[in-house]
Amino acid sequence: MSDIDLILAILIPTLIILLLIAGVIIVIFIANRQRIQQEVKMAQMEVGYEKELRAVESEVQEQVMQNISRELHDNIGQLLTFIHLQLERHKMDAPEQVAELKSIDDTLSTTIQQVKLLGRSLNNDMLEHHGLLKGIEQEVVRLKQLKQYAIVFEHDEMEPTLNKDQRLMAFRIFQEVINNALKHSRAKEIKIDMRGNAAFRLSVTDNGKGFNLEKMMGSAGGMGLRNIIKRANLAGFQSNIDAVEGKGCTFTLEHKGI
Amino acid sequence: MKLVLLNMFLSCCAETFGYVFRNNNTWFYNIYIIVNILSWFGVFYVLEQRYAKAVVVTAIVYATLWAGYVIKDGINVLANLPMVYGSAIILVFYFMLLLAIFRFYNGNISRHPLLWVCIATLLYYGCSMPMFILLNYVIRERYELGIHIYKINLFFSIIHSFLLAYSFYLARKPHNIQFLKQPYVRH
Repeated sequence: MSDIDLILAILIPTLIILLLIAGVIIVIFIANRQRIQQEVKMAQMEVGYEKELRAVESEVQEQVMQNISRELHDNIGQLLTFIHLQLERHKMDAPEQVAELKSIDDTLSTTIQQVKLLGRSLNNDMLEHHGLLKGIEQEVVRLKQLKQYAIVFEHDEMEPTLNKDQRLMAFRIFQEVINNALKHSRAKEIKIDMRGNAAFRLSVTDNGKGFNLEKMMGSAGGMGLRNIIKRANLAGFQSNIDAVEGKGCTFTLEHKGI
Repeated sequence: MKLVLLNMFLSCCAETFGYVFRNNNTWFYNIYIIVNILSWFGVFYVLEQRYAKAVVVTAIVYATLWAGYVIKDGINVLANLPMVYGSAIILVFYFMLLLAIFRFYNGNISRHPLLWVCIATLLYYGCSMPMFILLNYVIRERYELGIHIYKINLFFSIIHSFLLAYSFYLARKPHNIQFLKQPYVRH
């Protein structure tokens, strides 16, 4: 065997092996890239589907709330006003009973006021026309009128720059968080803080019984919270829950702005 | 990765020893070869517990072959055929590992340190095989040419070291340790 033959006898198989290995590696890289692209596509489709589902859910929920709001205004509100008129007439007919009827009159007036505010809070027209700040202010007024909770609302005078859907979503999330604090955490004091416009931040802190976030998120009872977080994410918000058992909870909703 | 690091350390020691004792160091290279190939078996054994028995059996067969060859030809003759046998087994093992990483790792495979360990090992042992098959013959018949041909091994050894260095670079982040421990868990 000549030198050239020997060199070729070594180099040719080496090159063939090298090409084979390189080919396998290239195929693996291409397949991996295609798989990643497909997974990204699938994830995007999933997010799109989820968004659509939430949009439909939210639309249905809003429709139901509008109906309830209309019923409260047109039906219950009218009935309460009618009762109030009857009471006034009864007071005129029997002036000696005015003092006795005062407590009923007061309760009735509060009820009418509460029904009116509840109707407004369920209806998103107010939110559309006057903005999130006004909506939250009105909700705070309604809660304060219950005279059971100490509510503090701190804010700057800027209306957050959110689109219509985001405004509605932020308001509904806020309502749900407040409802959770009062109903489940049995909070007596709630502090609401809202700052910024383009980069907006809303936080709700309660002094309720708190909870273990990890446990709660993993349990069936945490469905509401999981839903809130999911809805917030889909609407483009960042949400954070800071809860300690026995020490209340702080929920934060943030929008970084454009 | 600790085993790979140990392997690299052994290589450094062997190269240094080979450089210092340039004359008549084949016996040392023979010992280094068996340690080196068994340590690559060891890396595969740690990563692929499913084939643990097969790895142990193959290692025993390889060590026996190596011992037989050394007894037959003497420690001062390069044990090239056991080296070729070991390289072929390493090719099979690391090709399986490569496929396993591809199958079970969900992320960008090019960021997976083990992939680069596999590529380094496949390139080095795969491409050195033809040279090792003929090396003893060439050295015996044309010593000068054999010295030049051995440079093929040097070339792939450098590529091997660079690729291993890159895999260590990728494994620097703490989260990467997780998929070194569990290469077959989807992330």
